[in-house]
Amino acid sequence: MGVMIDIIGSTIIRGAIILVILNLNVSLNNALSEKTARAAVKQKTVVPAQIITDDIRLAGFGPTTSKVFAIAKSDEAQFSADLDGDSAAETVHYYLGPPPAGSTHRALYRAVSSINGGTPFELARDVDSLIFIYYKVDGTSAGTGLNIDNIKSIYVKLVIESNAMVSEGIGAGNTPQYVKAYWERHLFPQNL
Amino acid sequence: MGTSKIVMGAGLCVIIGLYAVGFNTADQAVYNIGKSQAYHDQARQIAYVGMRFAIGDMGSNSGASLPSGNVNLMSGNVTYTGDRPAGVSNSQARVTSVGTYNGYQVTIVAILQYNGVKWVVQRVYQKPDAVEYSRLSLGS
Repeated sequence: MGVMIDIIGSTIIRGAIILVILNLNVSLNNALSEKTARAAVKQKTVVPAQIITDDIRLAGFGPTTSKVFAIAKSDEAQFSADLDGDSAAETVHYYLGPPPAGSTHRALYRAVSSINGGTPFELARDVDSLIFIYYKVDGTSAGTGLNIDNIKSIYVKLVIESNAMVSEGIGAGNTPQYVKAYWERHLFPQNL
Repeated sequence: MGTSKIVMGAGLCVIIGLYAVGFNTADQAVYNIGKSQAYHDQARQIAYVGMRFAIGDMGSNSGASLPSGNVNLMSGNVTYTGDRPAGVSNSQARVTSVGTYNGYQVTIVAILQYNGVKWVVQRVYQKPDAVEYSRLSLGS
């Protein structure tokens, strides 16, 4: 009888240890895939963020009329900026386009009047949202719409998602989700 | 003999359970501290934006009135006020900007100087706050 208890007990202990090891292995693999997806999504925000920052910092070059934002919407902006340093302002247009074929996410487009005749360029994919908020000199809202002036600073927020859902754990309660990364910045263009 | 195996197995389970509780507690503590640090950093960024608003408010007018304002932005809030303490000339002004984000507060103090064309930042520093630093270390 004692031998039977020994065998059963050792089997239970061995099973428990194997279960813990398997659970740990699955958890580590899920964590690895989730962290890898998150790192990849964060990397996807770097270049668009840098380009948006560089463009908006140059916004408002030229006489008074160039300081007016032709389009100042919450998800779209068009302004004048001298990007190539030729003392002539170009028109820069940021907007979200329809999702590319096979994707459920929208794409961020950048169109510059002096580049390819103003042909839009796909700056980022898998964009969840693009937010512009415009402020006057004292921090009050400059509003949104067309031909908005008196804009002195712009808050920009870009949210990008992973192109596939990622599972963060195991079990019935775990729901795969898109991994998100966001970048935000409040910019004060010197020329405005 | 068999009873000793059962007792040993039970003890093993208890030890593994204690380790698991310890790991979870440490994991939660790391998360809390990281979150509080992120909130504190965001509050500091918001405070810097308030300082920029104050500079813009004064603009290029050498006789501009001292700025003050309260703005909601970046899911937080910033309050900036200007004053001219004793010993500060009329071409200088002090701006105190308090950024708040998710209950965390950071205070930025900037000394502005009129350079003949516009108001610019001469120096800026973050005001130390013992209570905030204690919150950061505890991750609360």
